[in-house]
Amino acid sequence: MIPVIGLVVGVVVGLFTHPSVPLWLQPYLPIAIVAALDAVFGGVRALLERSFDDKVFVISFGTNVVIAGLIVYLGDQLGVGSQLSTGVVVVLGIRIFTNAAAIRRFIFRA
Amino acid sequence: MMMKRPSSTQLVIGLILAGLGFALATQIASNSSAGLQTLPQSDLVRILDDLTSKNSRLEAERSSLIALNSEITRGGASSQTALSAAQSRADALEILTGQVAAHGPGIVLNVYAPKEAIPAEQLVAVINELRDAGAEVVEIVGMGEDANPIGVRVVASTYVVRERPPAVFRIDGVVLNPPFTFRAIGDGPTISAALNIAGGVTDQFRRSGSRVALTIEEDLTIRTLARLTSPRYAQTK
Repeated sequence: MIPVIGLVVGVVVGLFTHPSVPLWLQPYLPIAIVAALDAVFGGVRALLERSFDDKVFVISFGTNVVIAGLIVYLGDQLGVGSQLSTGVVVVLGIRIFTNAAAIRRFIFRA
Repeated sequence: MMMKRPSSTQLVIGLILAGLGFALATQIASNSSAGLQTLPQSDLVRILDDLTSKNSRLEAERSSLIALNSEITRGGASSQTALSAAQSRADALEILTGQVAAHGPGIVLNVYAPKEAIPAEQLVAVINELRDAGAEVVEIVGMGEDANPIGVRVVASTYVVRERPPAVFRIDGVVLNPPFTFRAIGDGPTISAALNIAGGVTDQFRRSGSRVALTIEEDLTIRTLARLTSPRYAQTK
């Protein structure tokens, strides 16, 4: 329950405070969010499979975000930032879809 | 595994997810509001190229419009000068053809004589002498048929006829009788010198028994107008 409340609170705070994204963070934030969503979906799936582990979730969340940011950074340095970002988003999207499919099977038994 | 009481890791997870939600909302908000800030470099370069080419196109259009504007302005000025030149030409022609009243310095020549005493050639000689001396506008005033003074503007087509009998002068078809008054606009001293020359116009009048009076006027106004006839045979080329 607390994670859901935390998510809602975060969204509400973000919507109402209208913070501006600092410039150095702008290329990384979207990818980091997608990576974090991947971690969240993985966590939900693990929760439903009753194999959820707090530590694993926190660490996977953190590493996902950091690695996504690093990949984008590396891509920017190599001059293929936009392509690599697209690739990362595609891979994470596939993983999110896979996790969502597993969650769906657990919830709807289909 | 719904939690009975919140453990520290669950709080951490909640905080993490709150951060995620915050970042999500922030990113969505900034993405929907931001214009150029979130665009990648390649897009920015393309936009910059577009703007540069558009700018150069507009610059070329601007310079052509400026050229057009100056041309129009110049054309307006030249047509203005052409118009004023045509206007002054028309003024000169109107004076020449006797279509407008005119004023200026000039002379008045009175000739008192019986009408039998003056041959037509003498009136023509006066007109000739006046023109020779640079008179620009000439009018002959005489007695009309009803014994009232009547004027005739002397123009290029003016002719003088002395009919006999009865002895009447017909100037441009208008019957005139002595005494005659010549009114001429021009350089007064020059004209009076030309008329008073020995053996000249006034001399001949005096010799034929006429009385002649010549005065130089500072400002002479001639209001008589010539009748404008449209030419039957001559056409402008």
